[in-house]
Formats: sequence, structure tokens, C-alpha cells
Amino acid sequence: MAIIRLEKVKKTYPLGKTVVPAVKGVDFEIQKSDFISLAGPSGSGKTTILNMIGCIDTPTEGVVEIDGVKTSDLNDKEITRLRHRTIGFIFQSFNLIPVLNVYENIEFPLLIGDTGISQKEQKKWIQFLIEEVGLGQWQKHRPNELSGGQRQRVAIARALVTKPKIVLADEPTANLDSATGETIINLMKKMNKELGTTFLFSTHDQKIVDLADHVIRLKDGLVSENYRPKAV
Amino acid sequence: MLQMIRIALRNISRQKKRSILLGSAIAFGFLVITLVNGFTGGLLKTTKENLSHLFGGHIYISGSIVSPLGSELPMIQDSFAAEEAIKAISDRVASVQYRSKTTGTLYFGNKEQTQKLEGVDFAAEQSFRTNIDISKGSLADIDKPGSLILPEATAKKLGVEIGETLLYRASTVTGQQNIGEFTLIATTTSSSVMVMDTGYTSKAYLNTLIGLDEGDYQSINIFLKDVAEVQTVADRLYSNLASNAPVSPRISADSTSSPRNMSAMRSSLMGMNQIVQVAKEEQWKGTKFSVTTIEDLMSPILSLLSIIQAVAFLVFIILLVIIMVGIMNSYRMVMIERTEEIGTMRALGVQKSGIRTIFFTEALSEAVLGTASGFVLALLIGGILSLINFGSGSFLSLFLARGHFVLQFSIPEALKNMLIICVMSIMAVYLPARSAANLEPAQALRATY
Ligand SMILES: Nc1ncnc2c1ncn2[C@@H]1O[C@H](COP(=O)(O)OP(=O)(O)OP(=O)(O)O)[C@@H](O)[C@H]1O
Ligand SMILES: [Mg+2]
Repeated sequence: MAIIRLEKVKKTYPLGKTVVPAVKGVDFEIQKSDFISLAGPSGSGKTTILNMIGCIDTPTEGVVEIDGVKTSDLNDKEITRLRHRTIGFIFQSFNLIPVLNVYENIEFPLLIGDTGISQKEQKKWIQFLIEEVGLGQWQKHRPNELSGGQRQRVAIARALVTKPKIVLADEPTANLDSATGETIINLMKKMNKELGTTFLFSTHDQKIVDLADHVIRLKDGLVSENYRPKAV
Repeated sequence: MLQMIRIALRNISRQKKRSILLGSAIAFGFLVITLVNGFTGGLLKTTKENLSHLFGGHIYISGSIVSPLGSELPMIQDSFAAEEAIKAISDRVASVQYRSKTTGTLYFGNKEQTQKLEGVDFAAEQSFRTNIDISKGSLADIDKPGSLILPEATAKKLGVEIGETLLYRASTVTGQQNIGEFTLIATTTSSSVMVMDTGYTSKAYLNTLIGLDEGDYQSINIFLKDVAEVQTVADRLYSNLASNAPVSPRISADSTSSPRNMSAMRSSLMGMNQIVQVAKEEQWKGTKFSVTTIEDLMSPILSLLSIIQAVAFLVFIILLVIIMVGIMNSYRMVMIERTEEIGTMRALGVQKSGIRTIFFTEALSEAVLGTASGFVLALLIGGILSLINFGSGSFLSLFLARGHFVLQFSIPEALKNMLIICVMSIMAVYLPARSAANLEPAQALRATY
């Protein structure tokens, strides 16, 4: 069964008296544990689609189904809980909480609600993730003391800490130089293979697109290509 | 929830200038109201003490009898009912004094001065010696007939020295003028400028002057352990008295007693005897008692103090409203500055209530820190002010205790004002907190794009 399913999804934004169509009717399915790239030029609707999958935005028309649940059936509280349990986020500009240090930033999602992970397990799990993303020595540092690449590593660990089924990453490499960007994507791929978490990331960098198991290409708010590249 | 509080507490130090500004504004408001309340509370206490020295007690039982000729004589003849009533409140009483008093004129050389005198039974009232504040002379000769203790100010006005003899003219309870000879043995530190301070002599000697028997007395003065409960204790005393003896209606500060009654009561307490004929049908048997308290006499001062307090409270509230506007604007700014951060938190699964908690906690901690520092400041300033000696001759001296301001800080009052500040802070932050919680996560996250 598909873990993400979009059916005839449309999204328009009001702009003065008219509306801007950002997504014009999109259908696709994503399989569990895949490493998926959402590609397309600027303005093609990548962020809009990721936001709707991430349940932080609602489609104007159509159905978004996450792990078998229609998001339009849920109220704000339930949607928030779904985000917390099922989805991890990685942002283009890292979006760490400035007053919390590295350890606390990674811990944060565990402390805002129940995740079914026991207290004892939590500590071990956070330590494991910190080592995995290579920030063992930076635990006590605040975000403003870290480089962009390091911040994005914190964000990856934070996105995985609740053991979500899906991690969404909107242009995770756009604020990094290409070498650092590549290591970040490789780190994501490593976590995808190790943990079996579904990763969906957007990019307009062709080199990164090629690392995916499944590519969905957008153009002007519509899917222009949807394919599985041959294994690299 | 705890996580949100942790973040909120750290956020406070994020915009140090703004937090300090808001905190100081709150501290200032709290400082003002606490100082004013401390002052009025202290004024109330010291004026009460000063007046109770003047009138010689906190509760006064006076009595009057009907003479065979049908006129009212101010004296207590059979004290059984009074004794019983005092026994019933004995756990509240510090001391009881039996005194007579009169207001007359002192003559020395070619000078004269109106003065209230109290007759004290020095043998029975041992505490008198320890409580009185002697400025000149000594109490060695206190038991000799005609020994007189005068307020310093009176002695100065008359130019009389210790050991010199003066004349005192007063009217007897039945209205004749009588003159007695007194020897000044000591002067007391004046507690007030009103020169209404009392002079003291032996009760037996004063009684003969005003036409009473040596053992008679006109009033029973009661000092309580705690002046604060004077009205409730007096009410209890009055109802006990009323069940055993005739009583005059209670005149109290808050009743609608006519000013004439009040002034009659005051002059009776001052010992200014007036002869009143009692109509046949209104006459009573034995002693008719009346009960007055220090608060009854203080009613004009009390209402002045409550006006000061009310004005201060109004100023405090106005100040708080201004601070509220400041808080509201600050947190609007906070919401705009942290839009992306709020979007991030919401995306990570923080409920709307979590965002509100952050805002409320931040505002509340600032309110608490502000009031706490305001309170400490008030204590400091109050402490320094109460060290200053304003002297005893100024117009302030009725409100001073030996030349010093007394600040009486009330903890319940401070807690109440702190609660008001907290509630108002929460109200002020409510709208920004709600808008922040209601931000659409996707829009909030796009805010920096
Ligand atoms: N809040 C909004 N109000 C109006 N129009 C919007 C809003 N958000 C997005 N759009 C429009 O929707 C379209 C798709 O935007 P979106 O951000 O999804 O594109 P994108 O593929 O993520 O682009 P980029 O690569 O630049 O991030 C664009 O034309 C954009 O101008
Ligand atoms: Mg985008």
C-alpha cells in the first residue's frame, strides 16, 4: 500500500481579487521506504505540494492520504498530532530553535507529546542519532555556533527522533555549497536505508535528483515526469 | 507543556533590553503602590498610637448617672456590669485603666493655657511609669498630692520649670468652678503638635478638684493587644454591657451619627463637662455606659487615608493600563519576529495551546520578576526613609513615631496587587498569543522566503 497518495490535488492562492493556481491537479503515489525526489524549476509548486503532504497546508481540491488517512477528515488538533507522530521536517533554512542547544533541539519533538518511545530508550536514541549525523562533540552548542552543514545535520536528527514514517525535506541543500549538499543528501540516503524511513525531498539540482529511487518532476503545477531511475 | 515553559523562560533573556524595559515598568508600578500603601498603613498605625496616647486607650467606657436633682453627671458609679463585660474580652486586652479627666486652664505668672488632665491611680497602674516618655524631671514624687506631669510643649508655652507651682481651674461635674494648686514634677515628650497631649496627676487629687470621691472614676480605658481588631472587640464589649446595664447608642465612624453627637462624644472624652438636665421620662437608674473606640475618633483621618489609598490605586491601575499597552505591542513584535520559529514548532507537532503557553509564560514571568524587584525596591526605599528623623515640631508629627515615618507593608495587599499585575499581563498578552497560535504553519514558514 502507498504511504502517500495524492488524487486530483489542486491548490490556489488568493491574490487580491483573483486567484493564483499553484498546483493544478496532481496525482501520484509514494511507496514506503523509498527515497524520492520532487524536482522542478522555481515556482513549479514543490513547496506547495510538500506542505500539503506535511499537513501544514490544505488542498483547495482533491485528496491527500497519509498512511491511509485522508487529511481532510482531521481537525487541527488531530492534524497536529499526525504531523508529530508520522512526519519529520527538514527545512531549507534549517529552522532550529535558537534558544535550545543541539541536544535539546533534537530532543524537542520528543518532549512536546507522546511518541510511544520510553524515556530510557529516548536518551539512547538521541545519542545514536547525534553520533550518526556526526555531531557528538557539538551537543551543548547553540545553533548560532554551527555551520550551515552542521545545522542541517541537527535538523536531520531532529526529523528522525520521533521515528516518523515519512521525512519531508524542502530543498534541504539550497542553502549549502554543493559539496556539503551532497554529503547531506548522502546522510539522508544512509538513514533511509538504515531505518527504512520514507524520504521525500524537493530540489532543482539534477545531480541530487539522480540519487533518488523515484523521481517526480513538476512543471507549472502539474506532474511532467514520474519515473524510477535505474539503480545507480 | 514543560518544554514550552523552558523555551519561554529562555526567550526572556533573548531580547534583554525589551524584557528589562517591561520588567522595570512593572517594577515601578508595583513600587509606587507598595510605597503608598506602606505609608498610609504606617500613618494609620502611628496616628492610632499617637491618638491612643492622647486619649489614653483604644476603647473607652464612660458612664453617667442621674443626680438626685435630675442632671446628668459624668461618672461611673457601680462598675459591676463593666467589669463583667471586660472579663468576657480579657483574652484581647493588654491593660485596663480607671481614670477621671477634665479640661481646664493652667495659670502660671501672667500666662494661661488650656490643658486636659487625667487622674491616674499611680499605685494601681504600675505600667504608667514604664510607658510614659519623660523628657525632663523625674517620677520620684509622683505619689505626692498635687504632683503634675505636663506635655513639654505646654510647659514651654507657660515658661514653667520643674519644681514650680501652678494653678489649674476646672469645673466640677456639677458645674462649679474650682481651683487647685499643682507642682510640676516632669514633662513628657510631645507626640503631637496639636498640644492636645494629656497632662497627668493623681486621680484622688483630681477627683477632689472636680467634685468626685477619691475612689471614683469617669472612664475605663482599655488598651488592646492588637489595635487592628478594636472595632470587633468593642462591639463584643458593647453587647455584653448592654445585656447588664443601660447603655447609650454606639456612635461609630461608619454609622450615620450626626456631627453633633460626634463632637459631644469627643468633648466628653476630653473631660469638658457640660451640665445637662435629663427629662423625667428619660431618666435611668445606676450608671449608663457608652463605648467609644480610637477608630470612632479617627474617622476623619481614616477617610483621608482611604482617599489617599484610593487615589494611589487609581494611579496604579492607570499605570498598569499603560504597561498593558506596552506588553501588547511588545508581544505583537515578538510574534512577527518569531513567525518562522512558530511555524517550525507547529510543523514539528506543537499544538496551538503550546504556542499560547510560551507567550503566557513569558509575560507572566516578566510580571513576577517585575513585581518581585519592585517589592525589594520598595522595602529598600522604605527602609531608608524610615531612618530619616523629621523632628517632632513639624506639622507632620501627628503622623510620625518619634520623628520617623513608619512604613507598614501589608503582605496580603502586596499579593493582591501582584495578582492584579499578573492578571493584567495575561490579558495584555492574550491577543498576541492567540494570533501567534492561529498562524497558518505553511504561511508562517514562508515568512522568510
Ligand atoms: N502564499 C502565497 N500566496 C500567493 N501565491 C503563492 C503563495 N505561495 C506560493 N505561491 C505561488 O504558488 C506557486 C508555487 O509556489 P511554490 O513555492 O510551491 O513553488 P516552488 O516550486 O517551491 O518554488 P521554489 O523552487 O522557488 O521554492 C508560485 O507561483 C508562487 O508564486
Ligand atoms: Mg519552494
